Amino acid sequence: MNISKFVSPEIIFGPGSLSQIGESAARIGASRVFLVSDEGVIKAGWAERAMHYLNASGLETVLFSSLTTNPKDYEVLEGLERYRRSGCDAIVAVGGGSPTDVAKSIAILASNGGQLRDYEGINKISRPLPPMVIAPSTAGAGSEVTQFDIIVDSERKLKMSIISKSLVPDIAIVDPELLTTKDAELAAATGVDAFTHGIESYVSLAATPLTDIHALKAIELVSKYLRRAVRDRQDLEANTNMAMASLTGGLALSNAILGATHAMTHQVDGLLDKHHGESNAAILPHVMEFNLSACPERYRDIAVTMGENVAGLPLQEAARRSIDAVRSLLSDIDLKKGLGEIGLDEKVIPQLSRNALNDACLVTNPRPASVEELEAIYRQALWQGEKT
Amino acid sequence: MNNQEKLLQQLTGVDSSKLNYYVELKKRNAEVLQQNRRLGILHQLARDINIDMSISDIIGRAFTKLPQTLPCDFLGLVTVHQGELTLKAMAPRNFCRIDNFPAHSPSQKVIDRKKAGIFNLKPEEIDHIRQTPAYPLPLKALAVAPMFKRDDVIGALIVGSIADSAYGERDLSFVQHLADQLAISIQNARLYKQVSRAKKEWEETFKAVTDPIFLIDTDYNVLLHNDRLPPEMNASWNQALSDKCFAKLHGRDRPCPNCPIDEIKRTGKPVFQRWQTESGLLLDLSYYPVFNEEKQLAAVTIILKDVTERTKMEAQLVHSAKLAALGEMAAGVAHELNSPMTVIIGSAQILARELQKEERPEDAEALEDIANCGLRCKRIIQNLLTFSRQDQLPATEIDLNAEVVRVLSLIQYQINRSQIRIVERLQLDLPKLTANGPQIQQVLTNLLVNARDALALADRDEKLIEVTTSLRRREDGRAAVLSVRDNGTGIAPENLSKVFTPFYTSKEATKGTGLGLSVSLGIAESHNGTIEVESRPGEGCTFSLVLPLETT
Repeated sequence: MNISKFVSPEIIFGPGSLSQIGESAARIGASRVFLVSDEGVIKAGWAERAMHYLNASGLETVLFSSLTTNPKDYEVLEGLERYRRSGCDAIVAVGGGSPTDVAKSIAILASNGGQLRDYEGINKISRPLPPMVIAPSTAGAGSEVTQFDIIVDSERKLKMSIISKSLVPDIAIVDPELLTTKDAELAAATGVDAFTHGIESYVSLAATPLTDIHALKAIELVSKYLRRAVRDRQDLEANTNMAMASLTGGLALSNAILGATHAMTHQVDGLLDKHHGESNAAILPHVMEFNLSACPERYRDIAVTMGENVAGLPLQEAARRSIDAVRSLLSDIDLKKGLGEIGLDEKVIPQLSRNALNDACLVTNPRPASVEELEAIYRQALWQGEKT
Repeated sequence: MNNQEKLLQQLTGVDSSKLNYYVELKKRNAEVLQQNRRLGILHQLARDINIDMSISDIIGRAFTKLPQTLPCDFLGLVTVHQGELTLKAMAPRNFCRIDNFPAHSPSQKVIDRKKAGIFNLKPEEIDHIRQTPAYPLPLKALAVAPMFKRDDVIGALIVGSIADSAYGERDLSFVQHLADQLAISIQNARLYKQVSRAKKEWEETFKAVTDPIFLIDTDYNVLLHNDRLPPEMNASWNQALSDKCFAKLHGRDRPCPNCPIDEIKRTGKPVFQRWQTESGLLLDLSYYPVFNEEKQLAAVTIILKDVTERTKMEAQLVHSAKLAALGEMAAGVAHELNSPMTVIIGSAQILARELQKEERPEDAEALEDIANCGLRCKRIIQNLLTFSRQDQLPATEIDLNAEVVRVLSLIQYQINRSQIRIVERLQLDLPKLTANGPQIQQVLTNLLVNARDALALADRDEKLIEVTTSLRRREDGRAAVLSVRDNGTGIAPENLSKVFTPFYTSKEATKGTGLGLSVSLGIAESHNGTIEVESRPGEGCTFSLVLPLETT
């Protein structure tokens, strides 16, 4: 793998950058905008603000917000119907990972037709998508810059991963002010998501120096600012850095892909409908333990980036420090539940393991994993209390 | 490269990129352009294909255009009739031969399914196609589309290529369009042929009629005619400046007064007329209205029937019948008069002889006068009898001069009474000729009567009729000529041609029948002769009966 490629949208970053949304949409050819958001964001007034900016640029808007956390395929179909009926020609999402993934899914079907299932996997999209602008309201998913689209197949009860460079939005507008309206619990969960992106893409088999910079930056910023951001939701400096952490994590994962943690959490989220951050928090330390032997140097780098003093320690020891640091971070932001505590039934573990084996994210995991090994990790992650 | 590496490469996507709208646009543009080009070709074909082209020509024309947009090494048209498939036409014309279509043949499949299809052929699938050695490369791909007549499949259009997998779905839809277009063209050609055959049948019927027929619209324009105009009318037809019937037929520049077309417009019923032309023809005209679908008068059919000959014959017949009746009457009268006249003559002669004996010569002379006049009466009666028996008498050897004397003896008195002098100039050494004597007398009588009538109107110091017999020598033989010349007013040139027309007369209605000359001409012609007219207006005219002596 001597040749690598790095994809990224045009990125507009900074407090107050939401004001750019109208001009941005107009610049890429929009005339009637389909605005995807969710109830929380609408309640916080961000959707209205976005519509104001869009209208100010002479664009008409149609608002769609019938969606839930871990968005479902039927929600996408409803949105597609609205999109087609309203004669829109561009898609804008303001919100967290859910509105973003719904926006991407509508875009796929709008220009390619068929069903979402037809595009599950890598590079199945054959026609360009409508112009897309994404403004995230959470710091975590990084979906505003990635080539990923994760949607729940309600029939099979699992998350489908749709991966295509065409899913990279045209413009990402990251405005940290939007983060101030989410609660501490959500801030913690999304923060862990961004953190996991950093760690998994850094140890990924597809990592390159270009992705490493972003991955380590995400790890560094989360380690420094997540605690502050959870403690004080109005701390603009913490929010701005968490937004940057999410952005860099997104760029890293979009280009280096993830690993076993995501391969496994995708299955859990499809089943339990819990926030992605919670399942990540439950599984990440155990996957790190599993992977440690495959790339101890990288784990040592992570420990250093998280501020651990590893001077003089043997490599294995130094690497292991990264896991300790992660556990202490999770504990500090009160994400201490195991999978069992958030509602997973032990009986489904064999099935989840089989599904995880087929998840695209497992391909880049630094250590190959068998079904049995995945099962073992699931069981270890079941009860957090027993381990600590 | 193992599976994981392959997946990794896909994920990091060195080989893939975000899809580009410009590329998509170019692709769509190319599709639209191709579509346009194909529509253009369909349009061009629709325009190029004439209604009277054969199926083979149509296929040939399409074959020259198709390669511009579609791989096409063969174009064929298969028709289906009662389940039997036939290769009706193809291009190139001698590409192959197909004697029978097996069930697995692409054409049969397409016709059965009524749905176009693409066939990438294995050699055994086309072993029924016998390609001629001029085209050694086998067809590898076919696009076959059914041809419909309403909902029925009437055949299939086959486009073939020697390239592998030459056709895609888009090509197939074009081939289907082409098949639809050709089906319409072929249907049109077929209908056209039917219509033109029916039209030809009617035209031939129209032209087969020997009487002139015209179709004239309500604005007097001649729409159609069957080119059977009598030669006498050709001049006015050819010189006409417009297509109007009044110009073509009558040489006029405006509609004729009392035009029957006006009457038809009014009544919607046929009109029949008789018309005497300038050239002396007698025509029966029948005007029949032609109505359009809205039951409005659209045109008028005119049928001309030349009745000149027939009328002449009829007139002759009538005249002959009259003469026969007259002759019978005359014979009766003569017979009745014969006995009393014999008594009168006999008695007068006996008395005259006795008075001679009694030396009363003056009285005897008076009685001899009576006897002589009686004899003359008897002769007149005899002539009358001879004249009346004309039909029964066959042609015999006659002396033309004797016939003249006989007529004059009958009629001279009458003519003299009109203060007209008759001059006889008879050529004495005329050879005898074979003719019907009484008919010749009839002609001469007629000519003399006409001359007398002509002179009656003339203002002359001396009214004169000259009766001449002579011998004419010509290249085609000798002829006896009997002429009657008067010094009357003559005949106006424009009327000269009409004088032989039955019922044409310049005389008062009570006096003439208009039959005399036409009957006379009939008699002359039955002797292979003719009647010549010569007229100098103001000086008089000459009618000559010309009788050839030798029949040629």
